[in-house]
Amino acid sequence: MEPAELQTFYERLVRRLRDRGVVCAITSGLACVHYGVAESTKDCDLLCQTGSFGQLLDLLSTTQLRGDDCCYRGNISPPLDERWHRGGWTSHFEWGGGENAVTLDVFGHPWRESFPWGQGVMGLYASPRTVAEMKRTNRDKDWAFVTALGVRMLEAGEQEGWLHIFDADTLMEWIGQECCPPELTARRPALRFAMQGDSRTAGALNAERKLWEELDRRRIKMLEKHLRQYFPAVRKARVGRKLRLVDDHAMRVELAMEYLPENPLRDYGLEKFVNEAKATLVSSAIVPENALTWLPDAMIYFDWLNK
Amino acid sequence: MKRAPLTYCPPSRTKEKLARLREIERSFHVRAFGEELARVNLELTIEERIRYVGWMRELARRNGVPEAKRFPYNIEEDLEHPGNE
Repeated sequence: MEPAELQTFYERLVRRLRDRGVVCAITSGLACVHYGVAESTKDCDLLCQTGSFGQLLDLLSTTQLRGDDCCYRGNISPPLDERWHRGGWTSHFEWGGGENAVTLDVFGHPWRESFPWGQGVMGLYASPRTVAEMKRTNRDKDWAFVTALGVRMLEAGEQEGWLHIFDADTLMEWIGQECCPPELTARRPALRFAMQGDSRTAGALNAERKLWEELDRRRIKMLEKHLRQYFPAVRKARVGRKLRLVDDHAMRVELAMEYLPENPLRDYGLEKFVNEAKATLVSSAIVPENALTWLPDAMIYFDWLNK
Repeated sequence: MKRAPLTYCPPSRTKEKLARLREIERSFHVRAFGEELARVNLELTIEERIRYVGWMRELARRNGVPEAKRFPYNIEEDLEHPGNE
């Protein structure tokens, strides 16, 4: 399928959802391309308000592509159900199979969300701020995208962009041109260092990035632990059966109730989760102990899990 | 339109200031993504960028570059073949 055709397919899907009153937006890689940072992904990540999952499932059930029905991708996808998405799970779909499969990953919430994503939607796409927060992963390649989005925000006069610059040279150069608002320097010690010309700026940016990487690694590990119970049960239930999407969905809900805790991170303790990640950074000598005071408050990105 | 606008307000900065900021942005894109992608990011239209990304992906596929694995599917194979864990 041609890239432009694929883009049109995803955008049409979002428009059809909007016509039904559903708040949703394309995010991640495709949003990066839209905002001017080329990423080679062809997967579509979709943010959709959890209360509208019924409508989304209805639409997916009736949307064919090149004669293929939409189905859950593999055995590992959790169900598209707000109970699990409110706790950070995601659902994964595809049309067709193999290397030509057209895929759709659905998020009720971005994994890191410092403000409600629905408030920042721009056209069919999630805001650069939401996309930049989602990109704070443990994948090395994502970090250049975060800074690129931060710079675009600053260029457009969005002061929040200051929170997304992770490249020390770019930060210093921008600070040489414009002042960072005091409320943001108070939130992010690396910005305060940069404003003061402090040589610890690069170290503080690095410590921050390492924290996000460690948090992402731990989150994935935690989810995987539960998926290792869920996945074989789904595989067993599907073996030799060609299920319609709605039936596959009902089966996954039933198995998720047995094997997937709805909110594993909250159950574990969010503060404990963040503190342990920090402790690991120090014990593995990735950052010096005093660098912990250079970190911004990471908890605000996980508050949504408490709601 | 080269990149989706983030604001519909007229620019509040002088042309000179804006040019300097764009220079900083370009310099970052060149360092982070390389000359060619900096051009793709900053000079192409959205449609051209989408076409370029498709071409890049196809070229990678033809040359045997594996698709990047993404969570949660990067564990599925491991689970199906526990020896790979």
